[in-house]
Amino acid sequence: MRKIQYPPVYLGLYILQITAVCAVLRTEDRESLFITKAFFWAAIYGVGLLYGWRHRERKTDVSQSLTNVFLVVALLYAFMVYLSGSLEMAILTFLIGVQGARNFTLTQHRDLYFAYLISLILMFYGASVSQETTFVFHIILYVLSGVYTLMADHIDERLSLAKGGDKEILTKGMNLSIKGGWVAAVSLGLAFIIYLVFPRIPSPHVQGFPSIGGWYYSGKDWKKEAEGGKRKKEGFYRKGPDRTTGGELEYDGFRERFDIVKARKAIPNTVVFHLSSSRPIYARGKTFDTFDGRAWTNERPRETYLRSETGEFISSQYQPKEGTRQIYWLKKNMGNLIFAAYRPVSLWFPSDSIKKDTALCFKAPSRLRKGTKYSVASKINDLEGRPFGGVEFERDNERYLRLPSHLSPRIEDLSRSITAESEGDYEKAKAVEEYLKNNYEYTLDTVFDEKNEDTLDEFLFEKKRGHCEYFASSMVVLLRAAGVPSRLVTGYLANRRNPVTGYYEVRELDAHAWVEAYAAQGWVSFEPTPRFQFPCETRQCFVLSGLIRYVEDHLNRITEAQQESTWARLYRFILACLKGLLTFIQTLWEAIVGTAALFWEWLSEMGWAILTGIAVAGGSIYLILRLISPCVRKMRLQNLKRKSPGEFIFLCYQEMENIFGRKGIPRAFYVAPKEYQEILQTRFKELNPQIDQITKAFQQARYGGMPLNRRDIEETYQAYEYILKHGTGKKIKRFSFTYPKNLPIKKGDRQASRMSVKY
Amino acid sequence: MKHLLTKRTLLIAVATAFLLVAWNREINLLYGIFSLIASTIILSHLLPRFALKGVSASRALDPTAFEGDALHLKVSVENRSWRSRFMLEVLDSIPAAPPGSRNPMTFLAKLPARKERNYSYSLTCYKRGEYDVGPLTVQSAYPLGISPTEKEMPQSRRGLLVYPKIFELARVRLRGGGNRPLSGVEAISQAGAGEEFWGVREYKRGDDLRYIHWPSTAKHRRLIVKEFEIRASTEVTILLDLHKDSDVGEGKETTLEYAVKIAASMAKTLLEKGHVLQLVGYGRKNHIVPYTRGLNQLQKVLEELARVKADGTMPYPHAICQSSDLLRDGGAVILLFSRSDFNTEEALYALRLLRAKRIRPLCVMIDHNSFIPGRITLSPETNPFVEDLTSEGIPFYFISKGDSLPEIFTA
Repeated sequence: MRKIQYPPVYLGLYILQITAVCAVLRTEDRESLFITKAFFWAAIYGVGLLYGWRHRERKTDVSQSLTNVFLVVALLYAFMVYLSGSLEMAILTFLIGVQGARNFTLTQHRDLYFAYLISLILMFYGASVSQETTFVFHIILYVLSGVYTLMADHIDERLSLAKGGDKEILTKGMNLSIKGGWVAAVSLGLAFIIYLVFPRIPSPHVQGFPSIGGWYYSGKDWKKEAEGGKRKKEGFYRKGPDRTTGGELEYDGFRERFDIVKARKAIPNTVVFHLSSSRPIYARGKTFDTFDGRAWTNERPRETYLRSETGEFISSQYQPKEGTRQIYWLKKNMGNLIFAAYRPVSLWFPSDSIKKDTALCFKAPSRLRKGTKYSVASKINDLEGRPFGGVEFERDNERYLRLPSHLSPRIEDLSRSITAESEGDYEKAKAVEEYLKNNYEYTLDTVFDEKNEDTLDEFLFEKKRGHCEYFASSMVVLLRAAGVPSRLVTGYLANRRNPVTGYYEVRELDAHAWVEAYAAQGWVSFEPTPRFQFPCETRQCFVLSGLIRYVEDHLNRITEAQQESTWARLYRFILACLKGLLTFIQTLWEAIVGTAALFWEWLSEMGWAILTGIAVAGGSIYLILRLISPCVRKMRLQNLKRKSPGEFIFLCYQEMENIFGRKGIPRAFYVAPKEYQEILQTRFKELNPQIDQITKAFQQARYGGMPLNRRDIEETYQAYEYILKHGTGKKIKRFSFTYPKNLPIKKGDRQASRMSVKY
Repeated sequence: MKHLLTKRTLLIAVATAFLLVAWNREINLLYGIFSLIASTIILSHLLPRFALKGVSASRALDPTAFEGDALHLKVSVENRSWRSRFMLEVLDSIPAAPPGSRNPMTFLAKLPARKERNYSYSLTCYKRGEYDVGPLTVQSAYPLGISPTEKEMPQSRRGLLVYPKIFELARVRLRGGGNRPLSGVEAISQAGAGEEFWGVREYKRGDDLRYIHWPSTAKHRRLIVKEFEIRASTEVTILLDLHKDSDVGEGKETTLEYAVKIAASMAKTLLEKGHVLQLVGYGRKNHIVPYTRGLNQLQKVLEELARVKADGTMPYPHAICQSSDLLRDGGAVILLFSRSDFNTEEALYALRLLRAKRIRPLCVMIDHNSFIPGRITLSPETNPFVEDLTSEGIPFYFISKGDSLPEIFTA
């Protein structure tokens, strides 16, 4: 096995390995722990590779001992990680340790390929589980260091075979003669284009679902909660105004009492969870049935316990993995609400027991911790573009019709006036939704008096602007006033897919309230808030469209504040460019698809017959010409041989040039016949006499000034025939001529030379 | 299987694996890795296409060399483009080099724009022969070594003639009548009749008892014979055995190579002494260098010896008979028997034919058995032809594989 002798291989490998290790560490550890571990492994790998490099000529017992010691330590450490509960992390830790140990004896190419393999596994894992946009920098660094290592490895391989040149200089020390910066830049640019325009075909979703993990929630916590006992790791959570369900989340809609006036106060823009889903969804958290004119509560939450040893909580009505699949990665400590799109069919949660209420909202035994991962399959029907849970019988409609005790009569009048012309609950609900959307304005500014107990009246008849909670609450009240059972739902609108990671990034600001009305024999979602659209399934063939949407979303927020700033203008320009690019790609794609469809249609009708006919005719003509053309040329030559021997020789030479030109050795204009003969004779040794004969005859005819005798003409013709017959072997690689240095050729000379070739 | 495990196939396999997993799980980061690897593969196929633009190379090499000598090659690489070129490999084909070094490569990490770089290296000439050196090829697989592109340098094919190795000989023990006594005469001593007294020496088997120097014998109490100078031949022919079966052995260690080496060394010695020399060999084509003297003749002989191949069909005794027409009466001939299992009767007939023309032969017997692995090497005494030679009074040398030729011919 070849030994590594080019030192930059070690440098490239070091960056490659550290990038891969950091990629894994980032997915699991907190920032401080990540930095500590990254430094630790960077030091271990650095020392190992340095030792390997220094002793690359000969493996020593010390290096072998070091490797063995590190292997044992890696094994023990991995076992400890396994005991702490994570098998996959234990395996990865072991792999990281193994590579760290092997670096001490990394001297051969076999070791190099092993290191590549380990780093690939680590990166593969990291990329599979990471939801951070910044992970893309790991990928870029990894691939670039991989490219650099491959390049250094190639140099190393060639140096092992080289006789001279830069061998001594390169193998002496860390000589980075090739920087490759622009290659990296071009590579990144090309990769970005491929990433954007590579068509995303619908996935078969083989395996990979469901996926649960992170933390385990024991059903014993229900009992502790009932007893009012102190929960494990209580201090871990940040104290909030209501610690029953909200956790670290600032949004009021997930607490037991939901005050709509205080709902939107100081909500940060931090990521709550990442969601993997094939479509945007409303992730429901909680429903409310009772409204007192200011705040929502649940009067009689009828909850049932669901128990499962495997964490699989399946509804028997459906197939377990039927519907829209969602995987949630929690990025923040939160209450015990389990978010899911309506209507959840199956739920996989790392617990042996969860609670389910009649509105199909779920609760975990204790508060959800950052790092928890769970999966949901939801049956999302579509009713005129609205999410619809399907037909279901609701026995408890009474509580969804209850109105606040001191409801303003104006609201009831308004309800009647809106729904007067509508028949049926569904039509009434649509009318109310449309009315609110069209006549009211959405704003996040706090415009209401906190002391006012009848805020809906103020919103509907005075302010006429507010945030989603006002719209949703108003719609529920108006529907109930019209006799349509309805409830307020709080959750998150997950519609912002990160084009880099492919996950929906759900932030605290995405907290939303909407309405579910019992219409069309089932619960239908309604969106009364202007600016908000139902999350509908839109298949994006190219990631570019997602990128534009994502960038647009971000830019809108930036430019809203500063409409005419330079940055805002620049952002708008970039956005316009991206949109233009997308339009172009989409047009191109549509044109390709359309043309392909048309072609296929034409082909299936009569095109196949026409194409077959053309192919047969073309092939026949080609074969006939191929068979006939030598005969024609021969006839022409024979004719000239009798009539004009001089022209015959010229033509014969021209034919010889053509034959060898087709075989990859054309005669350049500056190559003399004698030089051409030498070139041909080095490659076609078996044709040497024939080439010689034709060349001699040509030179005699052209420059000799003596008439050719019959014998020479006959021999030339025979030589031509021989070349024609035997010179049709394998085509050789095209021969490249280099124009001789210091040989000035004027334009006139060049033309003259060309003419001399054509005679 | 090995040709499948290339960097290219492995990278494509990795990219495909990432693509499939990304597609199945819809993980954009894996699509990102796929995109980067795909772009790397595309670039590593595209960039080498431009890596050789404006690059040319040339090689300087002596057209002749001796076997075993160092062959000095000077390589010059020039970049006439406006961009630097990286990872250039200048590949050459030197069939005269030892196995394993026949395709020497010069590696240049970087060749700046509008610059020329010169390198030199040496190779040992492995075996005599006529070789086609080249073509000189410039190759680059920048940046990853996945897809190399190459450019053959025009007119970089050259002929190289490697002369056989020559060892030093003090003299060649030739006898001959000689018909040109005034040119190229070499006096050699022998026990027995001659023209002028030379000295005395100890009796050796085969010496005529008539020439025992009795006074010295009595004095030293062992047989001492008188030596007289005789006139050596002035016209010598070296006859090679070029029958296709006469070349036994592998690589440099073959009977023909030994014969050629001996012939070259003898030719040099003889021509330096002023003899007139002729070289004859009957292969597929006849290798005949007619009688001439001087160093020019040595060059011609060496060139012919560099080219000879055992590709003929004429048995050596027949070749001796046929060559007798080319030999001058009274001259000498050096017969190089490359096999020891020829027809003895025919060989003796040929030798007698030479003697009839007053031509004195010197035989060099090469034991072909010693060149066949596992075959037992015979001693000269067991060879019947050797006995015949001894009885005929024809001097001979018996060569086996591995023998030190200078020592044998100096003894």
